[in-house]
Amino acid sequence: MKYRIGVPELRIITGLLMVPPYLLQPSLIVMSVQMLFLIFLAAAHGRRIKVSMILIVLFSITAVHLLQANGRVLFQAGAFAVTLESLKIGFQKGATLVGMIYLSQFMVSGRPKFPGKFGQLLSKQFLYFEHLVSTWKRPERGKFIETLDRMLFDMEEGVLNESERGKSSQLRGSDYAVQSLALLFLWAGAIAGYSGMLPW
Amino acid sequence: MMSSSNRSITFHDYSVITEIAILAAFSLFLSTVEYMIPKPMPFLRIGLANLPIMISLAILTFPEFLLLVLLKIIGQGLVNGTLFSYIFIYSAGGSVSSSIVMYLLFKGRGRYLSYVGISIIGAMTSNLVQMLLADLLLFGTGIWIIAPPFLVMGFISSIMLGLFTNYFTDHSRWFSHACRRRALLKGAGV
Repeated sequence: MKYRIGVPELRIITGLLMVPPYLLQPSLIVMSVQMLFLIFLAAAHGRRIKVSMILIVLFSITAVHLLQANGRVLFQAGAFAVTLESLKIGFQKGATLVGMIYLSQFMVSGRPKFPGKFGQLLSKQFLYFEHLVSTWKRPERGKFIETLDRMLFDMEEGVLNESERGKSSQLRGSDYAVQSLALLFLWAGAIAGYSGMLPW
Repeated sequence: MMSSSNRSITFHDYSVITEIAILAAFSLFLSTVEYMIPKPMPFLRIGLANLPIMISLAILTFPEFLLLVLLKIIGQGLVNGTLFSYIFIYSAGGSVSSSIVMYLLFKGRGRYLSYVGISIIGAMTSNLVQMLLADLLLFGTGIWIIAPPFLVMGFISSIMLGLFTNYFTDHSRWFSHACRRRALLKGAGV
């Protein structure tokens, strides 16, 4: 069967083209804006945003970097010195991680299909997974193993109709336009960051 | 007309591919189930998603086993949306290294190592590789400060997973059925 690019696959290509302007961003200010944009992009494509997760990642990575003093001392908390360079490096790494997580979520938001035999195996895995999720019922007390057994046997005995698999949606002009605009935003950020106009 | 050996090969390929896809889907499903279970401490995961990896030690050959591990890693990356992030590299590094170690241990274990022991050594390998990758890629050497609690939590959760695997392999009809089928295929020279 010929492999065709649909909307989910276009998102993967767009996302891959967004990686360089984000990962190589030298400006913290632009990177923060780009990070917020990537979070928005993931949310706009149906992914759930966990604010607590974002804050925990940003805070923990920054905190770990603060343990190694580097650059000008901003303030002192007892024997512990908070330094500017450590703060900047920590925040940048935290923002990189958060941004990449949401960029990934945007890229896989349409459950893309992959070419080749391995791609087919992956699709089969998701077909079974969706079946498990949709048929799962809370097991009775003490019958957890029996419940798992029944589910595994059901799948093996071919209760699934593989033709139920959804078809990849057709690409329209508006899809290209939206993805191009998102890409343009990230690359404009890269140009702004490298221009040296911003303080950080 | 298809020869009997050709028929066997077709049946074998079909059942193996189905078996791997089922185990991979089962792993994804268990990671979803675990997400819903309240945790006594943050980051303390039982690692239920590794149950299919543990039980497949007795069912799959090494290449099939690695294929399952790869499917689990990519599947989780797709579902959690971390496929193109650092988290995916940590997950892949930890899973691949620990899987290889567990497979080697399982094949040469004798009678002195149960699933609990294999699970503990696998978890320690995975955690150490993840710490090393975190040091190299994101956090720097400061990450080793959290190594002791991270390893202790990994130790506790791997004991729980090992005990659960022991229980599952002793009581699951599907597992004994899969083992018997493998033995039959092996006996038939497939």
